[in-house]
Amino acid sequence: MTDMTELEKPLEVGQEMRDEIRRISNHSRKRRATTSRIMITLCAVALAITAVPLLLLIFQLLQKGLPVIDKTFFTTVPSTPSLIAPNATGGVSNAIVGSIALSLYASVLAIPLGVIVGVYLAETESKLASSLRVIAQTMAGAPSILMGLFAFSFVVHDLNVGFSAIAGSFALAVLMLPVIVISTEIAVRGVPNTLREAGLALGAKSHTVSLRVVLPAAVSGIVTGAILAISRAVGETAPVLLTIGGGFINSWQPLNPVSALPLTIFENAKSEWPSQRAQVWGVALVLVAFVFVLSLSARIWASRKQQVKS
Amino acid sequence: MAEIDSVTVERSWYRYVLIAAAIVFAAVSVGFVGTILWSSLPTWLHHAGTLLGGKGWVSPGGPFGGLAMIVGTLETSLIALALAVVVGLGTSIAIVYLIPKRLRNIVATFVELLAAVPSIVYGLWGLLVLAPWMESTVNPWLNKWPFAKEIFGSPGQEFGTSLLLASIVLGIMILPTFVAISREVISVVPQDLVEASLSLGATRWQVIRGVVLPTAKIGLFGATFLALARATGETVAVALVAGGVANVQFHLLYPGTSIAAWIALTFGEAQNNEIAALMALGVLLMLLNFGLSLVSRWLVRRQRLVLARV
Repeated sequence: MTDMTELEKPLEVGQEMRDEIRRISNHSRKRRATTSRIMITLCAVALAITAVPLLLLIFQLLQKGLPVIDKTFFTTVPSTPSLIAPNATGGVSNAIVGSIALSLYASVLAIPLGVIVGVYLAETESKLASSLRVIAQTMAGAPSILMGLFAFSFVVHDLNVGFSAIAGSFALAVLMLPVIVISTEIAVRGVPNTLREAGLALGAKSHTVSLRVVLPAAVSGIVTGAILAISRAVGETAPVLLTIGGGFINSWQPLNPVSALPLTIFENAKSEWPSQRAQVWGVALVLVAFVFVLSLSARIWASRKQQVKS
Repeated sequence: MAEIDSVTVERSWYRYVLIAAAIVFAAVSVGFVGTILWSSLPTWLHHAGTLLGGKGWVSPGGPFGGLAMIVGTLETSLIALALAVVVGLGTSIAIVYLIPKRLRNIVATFVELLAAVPSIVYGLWGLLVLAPWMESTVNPWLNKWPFAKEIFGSPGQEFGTSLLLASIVLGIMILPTFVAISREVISVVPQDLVEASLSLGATRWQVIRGVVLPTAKIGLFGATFLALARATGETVAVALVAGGVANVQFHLLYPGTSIAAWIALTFGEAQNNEIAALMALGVLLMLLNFGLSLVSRWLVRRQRLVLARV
């Protein structure tokens, strides 16, 4: 790694390149062409190595997941297989209800706060704002298990709420918050200053400009960020593993334990019953479908709004 | 900005709402770090040496030694990183310079979608598909190589779920993350530079090695550190495929664990002292992750400076 002084001398890059080009011309043309062909082929091979396991994963997810998904999969709660009925796995409605409830409560906790903080970061320059920006970026990359530890310590233990949907939602909200803050700031900063100035020139108060001009112009970016945050939260296992408690009943109660799709996968992947291990593929397929639909719709939403603007 | 700000955000209820939200966000982040630190305090005060140097983890009474998890985290994430960087770099080059322009966006979108697949799904796939395959096919093959016993462990005693499988699954998981960033870094290398050296008779590979990679170098380091931060914090996938045994293990085909995976695996049964020890492991993970993400952000910022000067 080079030090800062090198940055001050932009010619350095040019010099390096000039040397390289001189070196290049000394080689025989044939050998260069062969080396190039080999290395380019290796790059293509690397692309194939990347693609094969990932395509295989998607393929096997569909192949093993689709057969186990039927009506009871969505509508009934799980039952424990026994020697008499080894295939009686029941459905996973508890996990579906739990995942929806968790992302709903987490969104209520995280989205309003995250959007306002994002607007604050975009519209003020202060020490507090710049340190909050660094904090948001650092927290956005923090391992999700830490959100679980935080929510366990604070909500489950200190507040004495116990394992519950609200504890899990709190963990997921902490996870979503920095993502929403960052995307909102980018969206609000993207609004042209001329719009703000036009509003102010008409004599509008600053909060009127913010609420009536800037936010509506930035809304597509904000919505995209929020949807992406939800799609990340819904697939997270580690935070909910430490906080929601699990359980076999459909529950929307914030203070009761719930289950979730990722938790069901984690718990049943090592099940001794082949029927439960098979069912887990269906759960994984539903989860991936959920995440893909969310992030694709966020993408489509973002690109469509951009076209409208331009 | 300062002058504009004093105009746009004057003292009004709106400004107080913004500041209040910012303070709540600051409190959440302070609470996040503070709560985990506070909960781990008993371990740091009384058993710091055991946690950092001890080899055994005896539930529920202790001692709680963290060396196995620390070593396991470094082993799995560094091997995963090596795999992901070599393959990922080739993939990014192939995406930017080999694939026809119309396909490029589709491939890029696909890669980004894969980065959104929940980690539990990769873990499930590793456990139910890759682990049996490792046991039946890959392990016997690996053991035919020289020094196999020293690197992988005695033939016949290896397992399907192992540190090597965890590294491979981690590598596959961080690949889309690495490719998404490195592709972007490579694709913004100015076309002038590329065309200039092509016109001087350089082959495609010489352009890539002599011009593209040096120009993108710092950004690629940034992508590498970000991928490493991802790998060290990954929880449930490692918990499923690493074997979950708390031994300091250098034989790669034997089971091991990582910090995050160990927290996920043992937290459910843990009581008082063990919870504090797991929180202390969480503090170590936090320090590692925050350090890595700081370095990666610094590198990405420097890359922008370099590009601004070319």
